Amino acid sequence: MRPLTEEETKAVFEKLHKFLGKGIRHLVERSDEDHVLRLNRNRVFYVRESLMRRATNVARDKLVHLGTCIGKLTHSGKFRLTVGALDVLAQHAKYKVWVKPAAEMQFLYGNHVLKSGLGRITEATPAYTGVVVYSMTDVPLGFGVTAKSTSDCRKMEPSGVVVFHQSDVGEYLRSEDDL
Amino acid sequence: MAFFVEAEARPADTAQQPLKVTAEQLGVKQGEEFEGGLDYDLGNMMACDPSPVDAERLRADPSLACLEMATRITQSLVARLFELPSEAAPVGRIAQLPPPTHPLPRHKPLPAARAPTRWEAFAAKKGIQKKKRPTTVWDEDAGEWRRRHGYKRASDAKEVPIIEASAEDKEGEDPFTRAHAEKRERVKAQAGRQLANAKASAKAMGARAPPLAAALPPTLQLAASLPEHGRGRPVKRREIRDDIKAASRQAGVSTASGGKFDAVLPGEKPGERAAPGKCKRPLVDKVADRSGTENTKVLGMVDKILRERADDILDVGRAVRGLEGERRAERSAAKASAADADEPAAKKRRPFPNSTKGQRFAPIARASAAAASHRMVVAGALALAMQSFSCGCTT
Repeated sequence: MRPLTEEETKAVFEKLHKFLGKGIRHLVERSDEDHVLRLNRNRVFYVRESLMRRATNVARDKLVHLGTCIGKLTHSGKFRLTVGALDVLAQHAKYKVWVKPAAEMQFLYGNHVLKSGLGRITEATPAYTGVVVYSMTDVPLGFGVTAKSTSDCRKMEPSGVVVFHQSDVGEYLRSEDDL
Repeated sequence: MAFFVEAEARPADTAQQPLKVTAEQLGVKQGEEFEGGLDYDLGNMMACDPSPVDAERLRADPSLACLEMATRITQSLVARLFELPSEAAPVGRIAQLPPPTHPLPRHKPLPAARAPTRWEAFAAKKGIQKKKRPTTVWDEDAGEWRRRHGYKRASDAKEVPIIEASAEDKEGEDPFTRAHAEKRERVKAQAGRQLANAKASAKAMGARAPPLAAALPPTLQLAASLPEHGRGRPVKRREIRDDIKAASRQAGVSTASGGKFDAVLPGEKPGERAAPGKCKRPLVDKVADRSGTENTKVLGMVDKILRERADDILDVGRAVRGLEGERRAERSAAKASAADADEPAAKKRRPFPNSTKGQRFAPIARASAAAASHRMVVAGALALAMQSFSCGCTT
């Protein structure tokens, strides 16, 4: 476990900015305990400070998981969000998409969200921003990237892709070993 | 298809003859050319009047005299330029300028040739010619042509399977390690010779020497830039300041631990000794850092990211909508006034008498009802509070 370098921290927060916008401040400035980012192997963990201090007693190769794993750093230094970040994203999401019950399972199997499955979408969502996908009962299902802006969504044909799938809750079952 | 139709439609003679236009048709008046001979250098687009200057005329009115002379000389030069053979191009006519005749001075002096190395000097003295070697060599053991240097080279020293013992060999000595050590010595000696050559060259060429950063380490470069003892003028410190700094930095790092535990010298900044380069240092040196600096650093980075990407300070869409609304209001007002002017002729739809269409309200006015009620609620709450407080005070 080691703290992130300046470039790595920047990569993480730039990625999170696509989903949270100004909400990335809430991740750093918390009313309860301070949370920090730590790196173990190539996984980035968002963990509270007291827990992190206790984890320093565990050897690096024996430490499996710590706090919340929000993503992975690739070999070239790029940051990729994984499903563990959903909890953090859903709390401070800037743009949200609600999916009809019929299309919920499609999304949870890893497919994109089509216009026919779109229930609601936040007003003035630009294209190619990060969105959090919810069910109609406000349960976060996953996150993705919009293909079109809100106004373009209205003019689309029903079989068009609205949100590109990036990660969903079904990955806890599908790719258990990868997490 | 359209091209073919056009070609056929165009008559043949107009396609061959270009359109000729005279200066009078264009309404252009040509100025007077310069009387007297001029030195023309059309390659540099330059015309020079070699005759002595009329001092009287210049003293009388210098700017006017200069203007007249320049105008006439320019006219002559332009006339000459337009007499050059030219060809048609999409942008106009293009003429090829002749090669320039006037030599222009250099901005910087010519770079000095590299000083000859020790071998080059020896070869020049002895008259040894450089022989070009072929890239491939016949390898007897392999039975094929192999390259001289590089991958799968001929007679690679590392690939020797057996070294035969000779009478001079010492007992217990491994010939392979000996060969390896000898090669290392040779490489080291060659590097030393290269360094000596670079140093000598720097010394010989002096100020005109090309930068030696790649060849010489900073400490030796400093030694080379200093004059020899008893020769030349004493060098001032600020002239070789960069050399001194580079040498000091190198010397600081050249200890067993890379200069990490040595005391910082007076006047030396703490980060100076580290070799400049991309250091991937984490935000905090200790994993469980207790100083609290990590949070402030991360917050600073987050604020910077937000500042860079803050495109919602100005909501462009909203501003555009506001502007459009104002323009619509202006247009409708203009229409209303025009309709008033010619009322019987144009039966235009007039807005209702109390209509507020197209008007823009100040935000305060719109929120007045809500604000007033809010103020009343607050005032009521304050009154209650004051009452209880005063009651409390008196009792």
